[in-house]
Amino acid sequence: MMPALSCEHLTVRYDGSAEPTLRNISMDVAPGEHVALLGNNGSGKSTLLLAAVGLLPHEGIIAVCGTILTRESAGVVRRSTGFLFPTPEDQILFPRVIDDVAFSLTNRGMPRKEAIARSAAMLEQLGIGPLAQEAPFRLSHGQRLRVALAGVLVASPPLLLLDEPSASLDPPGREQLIALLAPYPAAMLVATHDREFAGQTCSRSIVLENGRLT
Amino acid sequence: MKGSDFSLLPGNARGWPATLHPSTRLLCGLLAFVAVVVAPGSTVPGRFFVTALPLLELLFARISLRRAAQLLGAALLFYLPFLLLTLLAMPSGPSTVWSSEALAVAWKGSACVFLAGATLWTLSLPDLHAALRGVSVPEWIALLTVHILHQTESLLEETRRITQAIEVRAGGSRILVLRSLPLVWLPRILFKADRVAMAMEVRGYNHLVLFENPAWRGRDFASIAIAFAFVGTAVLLRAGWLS
Repeated sequence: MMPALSCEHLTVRYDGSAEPTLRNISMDVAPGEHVALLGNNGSGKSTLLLAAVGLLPHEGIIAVCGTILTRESAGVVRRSTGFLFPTPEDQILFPRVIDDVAFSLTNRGMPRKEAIARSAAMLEQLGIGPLAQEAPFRLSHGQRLRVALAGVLVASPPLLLLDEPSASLDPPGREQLIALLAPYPAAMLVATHDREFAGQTCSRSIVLENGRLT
Repeated sequence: MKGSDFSLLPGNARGWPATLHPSTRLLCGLLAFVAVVVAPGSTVPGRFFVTALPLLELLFARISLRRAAQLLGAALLFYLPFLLLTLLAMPSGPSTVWSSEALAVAWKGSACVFLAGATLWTLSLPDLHAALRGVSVPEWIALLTVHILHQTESLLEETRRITQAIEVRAGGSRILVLRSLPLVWLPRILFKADRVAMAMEVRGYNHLVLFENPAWRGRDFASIAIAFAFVGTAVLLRAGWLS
């Protein structure tokens, strides 16, 4: 079976940086598999996630659900991927919660009425149904995180790339997130410092140290 | 949730405007603005008219007194220096004609600032989007306008956080805050802009998103007719037929 995410000899170097941030990374995430990406600050966790959706230039091969990532295929790869940024407000693009969540579906060609209905159901599932008509800037960090997550999950992508999803969540919010993600059927690569969270949501973990897998 | 007085947030005006199509709110605001511009500011009926329109808006939109005071403050900020400078700059000292003209400009200008602010206050960002689309502004311009305002909100929030952090670290020194803010703010904002651009790319923000238009109702047409009547009254006042 084709892996949901596959990296072969992946090296990423930021502009102007002498040393690469990621060096010769080879790894797979199988369909439906939940993998935790652990490592200290600056070890390259976020860089790996950003490279996987073509936001950073790379050497080596990245493939998502069998599609090799190139400049031309980046759109296809991104449509197969749900990406959660560490600061949720960065990815909330619309001034009303329901519109932002529905955008993930209308952008894929779904009629607006159906998209709104499915988005409302997703917000209910995440426990933020009553916030559908709110402006994201009136919400707390935890609520925004759930809005961003709803925008990611509503499109049911086969691969989720989550960057620090449990950071700054209160204990009930964290528990809720674990309950939602642990049984989630899509493949997942979760960059986190939270080993307990990783243990409860992922079946396997990989560790990055100075840009290398250990 | 931040803040406790929701009537201070955009889109929280209540009363009659809240029941209207967003485009009607925008059009009525524009027409009221035009009426104030057209009305004469130097006659007693004209001044009465120019004062009455913002007061009517205040009343019907049930804008909070605090918001009204803020709008009045903004109007004074714009026009009080103009008024004072005009009076002081007269070579032969203040004359009745000049004072009257300067007062008329300041009076009308303040009313315009008040009306513009009050109109925008009746529209939330999604309302503004619907309003622009409803008056046949091209979709991409409507969406772009809303996104610029949406991201401006985000930047203001970021700026507030940065200011608070500097203030705490600077031990309350306002001068240090003012001196450090640009140095801290610019890199942070550039980083944020980069992140937002990345998010837009990942989320595939390169297509126009289709929205549904709210329906127009009888009260919308009635409101627009009343707003046109205000413009008509202003024209009659200008022509001197109602003086």
